[in-house]
Formats: sequence, C-alpha cells, structure tokens
Amino acid sequence: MDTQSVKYKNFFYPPGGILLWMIIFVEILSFGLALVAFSHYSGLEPEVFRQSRQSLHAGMATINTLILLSSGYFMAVAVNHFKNQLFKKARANLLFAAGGGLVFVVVKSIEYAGKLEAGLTLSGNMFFTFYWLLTGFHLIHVITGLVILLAIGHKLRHQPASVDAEDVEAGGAFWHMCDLIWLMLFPVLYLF
Amino acid sequence: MKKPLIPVLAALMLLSAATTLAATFVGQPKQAAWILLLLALMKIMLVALCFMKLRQAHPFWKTALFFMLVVIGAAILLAD
Repeated sequence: MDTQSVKYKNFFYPPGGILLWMIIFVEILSFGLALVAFSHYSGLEPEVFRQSRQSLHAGMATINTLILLSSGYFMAVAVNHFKNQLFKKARANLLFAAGGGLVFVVVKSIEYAGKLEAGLTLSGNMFFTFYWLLTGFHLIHVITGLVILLAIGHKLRHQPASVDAEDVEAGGAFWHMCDLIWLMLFPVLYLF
Repeated sequence: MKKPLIPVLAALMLLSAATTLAATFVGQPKQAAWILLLLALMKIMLVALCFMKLRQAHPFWKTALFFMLVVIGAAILLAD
C-alpha cells in the first residue's frame, strides 16, 4: 500500500479533501430533497407531470449523460497522470474532460432553446418550475467546474511544477460531483 | 498498483443503456421507477468509488454516501 492510500484511509483526508466532500454531501442532499418535493407534486398532479415530461427530449438527456460520464473518465485519468508527474498527458486529459463539459453545455442550451420556443418557461406549471430550477442550478455547477478545469489546465501548461496535487484532485472531485448530481436528476426528471 | 478505469467507463455505459431500456420497456410506472433509481444508485457509487477514489477512503465516507442515496431514493419513491 502506498503512502497516499494510507493517507486516504484517515477519516479527515478523503480523496479531494474533507471540505469538498462535505460540500458534495450537502449538494446531494439539497438536490435529493428537491427531487423528493418534485415527486410529491408529481403525485398531486400526475397528468400535468406526465404530459410535461413527454415534452422533454429524453434522447438529448441520454446523450448528455454519456458525455458527462466520458468526461468524468478523462478527469479521473488526468488526476492519475498528474500524480505520476506526466503533466502533458494530465493536461491533455483535463482538456478532454473540459471539452465534454463544453459539449454538455451546448446540448443543454439547444434543449433550453427548444423549451423557450415552445413557451415552456419557469412559470408554465409546477413540473417546469422544478425542471428549470434543478437543471439550471446543475448547469451553473457544470460551468463553475469548467472554469476550475480550464484554470488548472492553464496553470499546468505554464507552471506544471507549481500545481498542487490536492488542487487537481479537488478540481476533479468537483467535476465528478456534477456527474453525481446529473445521475440523480436524469431518471427522475426525464424518465419516470 | 492502479486499477484501469476503462472497464469502469464501459460498465457505466452499459448501465446507461440499461436505464434507457428499462424506461422504454418496463410498463408498470412504479416498477420502472424502482429499477431506474437502482440503476442510478449503481452508477453514482461506481463514479464515487472508482473515479473519485472513494474506494480508498475511510469506510465512513463510503457508507454515508450509500445510505444517504438509499434514503433519498426511498423518499422519492414514497413521496409519489
């Protein structure tokens, strides 16, 4: 067992840092409770929710799921390469991860444009209030994650030796958190 | 020794395909919701354990995440 594995076994040092994991737990709980409320309202107005859900594009959401999962893979590989001091490979994989995030934002924007054109706005009904708030808040997380990845990538290009492994790992954990939240939202909003 | 991540990505893709199939072919809404949430739980745990390396962390973090997801999933099913 290497020293890093021993460090991770310590309660106070989960991979990515204890502070980030506390944030991840709070985020999952917040989105989870919102989904419970969504499910509750779905029981009160089943027909409205069923018809509204049919107007969503599940295919686009499935593509976005695959994109985010692939992006998460590249991020995990980037962290591994960084720890092995393979900075160029780490940066290349980081950029692939960021590219995936960018595609996610583009697909989401196309989906949003379609909804706005059809007049399905935040105030349309309870389903679309939840839809816009939950997916919009998630999109803000993805954009924040993208900024973090691009900042790390920029530093990796110009001063790779000065980049802290814990920063790369924390950036990666934040990026994966976007996957986790999307994996919760996707079935409940689009498929139930 | 580091475990390769490609099989994890492949498993995630397969679980995503299974999600689409379950949403399309399982007729009973309640049954479909159960299956979809179970598949989501598997995907989330795979990402957390393998991509985020939670596998190497203190058992508290793995257990807490799993139980929190189970409670949220159960609450979603019961709230409907």
